[in-house]
Amino acid sequence: MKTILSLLLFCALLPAAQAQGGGFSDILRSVTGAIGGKEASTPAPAGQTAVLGVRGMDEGDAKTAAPATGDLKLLEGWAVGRKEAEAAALRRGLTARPVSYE
Amino acid sequence: MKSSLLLSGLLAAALVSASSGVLAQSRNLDLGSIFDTAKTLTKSQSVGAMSEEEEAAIGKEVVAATLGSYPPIRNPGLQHRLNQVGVWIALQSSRPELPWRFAAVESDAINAFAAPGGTIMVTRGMLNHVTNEAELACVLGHEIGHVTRRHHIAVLQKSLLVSAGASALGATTKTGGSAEYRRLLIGESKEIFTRGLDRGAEREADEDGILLAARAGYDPAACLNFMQRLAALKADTGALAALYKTHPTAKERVVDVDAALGKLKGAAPGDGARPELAMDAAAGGQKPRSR
Repeated sequence: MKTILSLLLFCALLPAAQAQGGGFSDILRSVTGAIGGKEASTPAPAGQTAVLGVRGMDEGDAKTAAPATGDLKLLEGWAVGRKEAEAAALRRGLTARPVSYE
Repeated sequence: MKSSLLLSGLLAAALVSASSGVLAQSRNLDLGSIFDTAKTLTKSQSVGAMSEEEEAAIGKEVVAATLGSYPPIRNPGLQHRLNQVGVWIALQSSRPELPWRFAAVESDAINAFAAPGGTIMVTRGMLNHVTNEAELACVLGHEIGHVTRRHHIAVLQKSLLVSAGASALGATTKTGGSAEYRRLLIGESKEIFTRGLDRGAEREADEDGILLAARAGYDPAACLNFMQRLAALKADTGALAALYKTHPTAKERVVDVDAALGKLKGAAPGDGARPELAMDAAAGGQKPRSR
């Protein structure tokens, strides 16, 4: 029901947003605002890839930083496999045990 | 089936509405894309409907964006050790087969981030706040819990209809269906991640943190100690500002963590290891970008 309502809102907002000369990013923001989302303070131009934020991340940082795709390779280089992790845990005196919640 | 037809009809109505305005004069709408999106939407009514590949692709974008603000600490020894600990804890989870990656990032804030697909980022401030490896295990276990339960994906999927509507217009850019669709989905995550998850999801993740730490052989009481020390800090300090925008207060979480410890079966508080934290977070410093 909520999704249907959202779509109907989209239908209603689309012509208005277009009439204002906005692209689809503006329309998306209009719909998001209509269903309770927080409107972005700095609208991105239509077609521009949105800058991401992560839970708990400072919103200012999220809006100004460019994606660091090159750093993803660094993360891959630091990756550890199952056997290495298990061996390291054993050296630290850690042993897996069955634990659950009642 | 009924909801699928209804949805398709509404999307068609949206198309007609759009065609009657300025849009129809300047853009070439792609009916196929609209109905493909509707199909995807209908299939994605449950969290489990998204494939691991899609989850990983979204996660990769989220990680790249996060590293754009908080670059990884250039200390391979620290990062390697963090991955050894993180993977060991993740192996105790319900999704041990994910390509788990862990990264310490430049930020004095006390925080940690989970991206869909299995990448966890921990700030320098957090590494300086934990006093032993067991406390770090609680933090990593909390973030692993968000990933295994697909908390962020679930929130994203709730906003799929909005993305679907935008995708109908985005199709005119002729950039390709799935890539465009994913981009819109990621765009939605901007709002969701900066607002955070609900209290229930955070409580679940706290419980997972305790459970995974205990399963990995650590003293689960370390989770309570960590939270109590967090609660003792002034809430309005800069290091905690971002955390408290998106999480319940540490004082509330102390109550939740204490209750969870009481329900634990197979490891009592005090039963388990508290290894020294063999990570020098002070080394390999680099200023965060864009600050």
